[in-house]
Amino acid sequence: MSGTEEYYPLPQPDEVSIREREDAMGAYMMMFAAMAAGLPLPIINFIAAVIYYYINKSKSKFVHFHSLHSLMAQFPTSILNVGLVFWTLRIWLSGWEFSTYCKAYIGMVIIANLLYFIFSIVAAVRARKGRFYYFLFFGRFAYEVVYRVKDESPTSSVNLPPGS
Amino acid sequence: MKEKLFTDLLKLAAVFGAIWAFFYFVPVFPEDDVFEISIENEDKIGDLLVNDILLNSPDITVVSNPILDSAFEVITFRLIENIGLTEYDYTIRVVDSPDINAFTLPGGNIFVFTGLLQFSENPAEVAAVLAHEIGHVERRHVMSKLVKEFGLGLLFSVLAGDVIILGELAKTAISTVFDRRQETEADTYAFELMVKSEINPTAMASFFRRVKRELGGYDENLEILMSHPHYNARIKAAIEHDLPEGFSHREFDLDWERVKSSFSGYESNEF
Repeated sequence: MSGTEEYYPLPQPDEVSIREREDAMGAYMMMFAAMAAGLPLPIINFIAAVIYYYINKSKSKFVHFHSLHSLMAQFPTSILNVGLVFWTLRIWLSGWEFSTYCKAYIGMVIIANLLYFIFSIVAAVRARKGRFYYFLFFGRFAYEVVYRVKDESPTSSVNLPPGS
Repeated sequence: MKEKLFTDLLKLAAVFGAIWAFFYFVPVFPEDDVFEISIENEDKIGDLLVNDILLNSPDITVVSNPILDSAFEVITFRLIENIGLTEYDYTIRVVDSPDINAFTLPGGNIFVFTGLLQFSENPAEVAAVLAHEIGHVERRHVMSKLVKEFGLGLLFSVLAGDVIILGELAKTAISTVFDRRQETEADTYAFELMVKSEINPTAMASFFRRVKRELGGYDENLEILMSHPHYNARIKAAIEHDLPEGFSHREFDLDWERVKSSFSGYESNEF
């Protein structure tokens, strides 16, 4: 995992420009604004996060990593929030029981959102300092996608010069 | 790397599974206040309300005659013997009123209007209405509404002998409109009880369908039965309720027209 043959070296804080730091921090901070705008339809903030990711991913690996990290971390939270909206509507409109399962789910969604907020703030502060921060699973996943050296040698050429 | 990713994913799932389990098994969210009132106290409140209503409500006169009483005994016995474990002693009274209505008071006190009996075509339909009201009792919906409306403190003061608000309490209990969730719960309970009592739940559907056809939908006199305008869903649920294999409907051995003519009443065609 740490071998330089497989992975691009991680930039150190003094190698990351201010602009990159701000873009990386923006990936986390933007999520808060999108999340607030997405209520009560949490899927909207996820769409905003995807757009932000595609705009920023080509800027630098540092920004790409943080954008993907933030996007990935938001995905399960958004799914949980959508589930909560759906469940609430079923209780309200279809008479579903406000069961212990539902109460436990609400508790879990609250904790998930709190954890997401707290860790996103920590990650945003780290990104502003030109540093990395890895969430459980999502950090490793984003590192793997962004910093792994991909074998780009073509296996077969499709476009060939004339006459060949 | 893939193994580490998979391990991380498992850890994440375990963390959230543990959080869910914590909230499931540890009662962090406050329980419904209705559980603060014991069944014994509910019985006492029910007795106080029944006495108050019978004494102070001129509109509510209980009808009783041997034919009607024995018919109700047959219907209620079939239902109550199939309830299973229950903490309530049910008392069912017939009220002289042309309204097609029924209501429930705390402590298993159910009131059925003669208008409803006249409108019914057979005892199974009345059994369906009773099963629905029993559902409200068993799920403690009336107490839940009273607790929400008046608060625990006021109810306990009634138990302690404060009878000043008893009239207000009785008025609220009679006119209680249950919410959609409670109606669905009571319907589901009723269907299950009817099946156990060898009564086809379609009896409820046929009753509601006739109400809809003959009264044209929502009627202010049907507040208890028709708390919500979308009762097509309730008719559908009654028809589609799963019946166990080998289920057969057992008719009540009652001359229903004779029962209906036993009280000075109202012609069913007046609706």
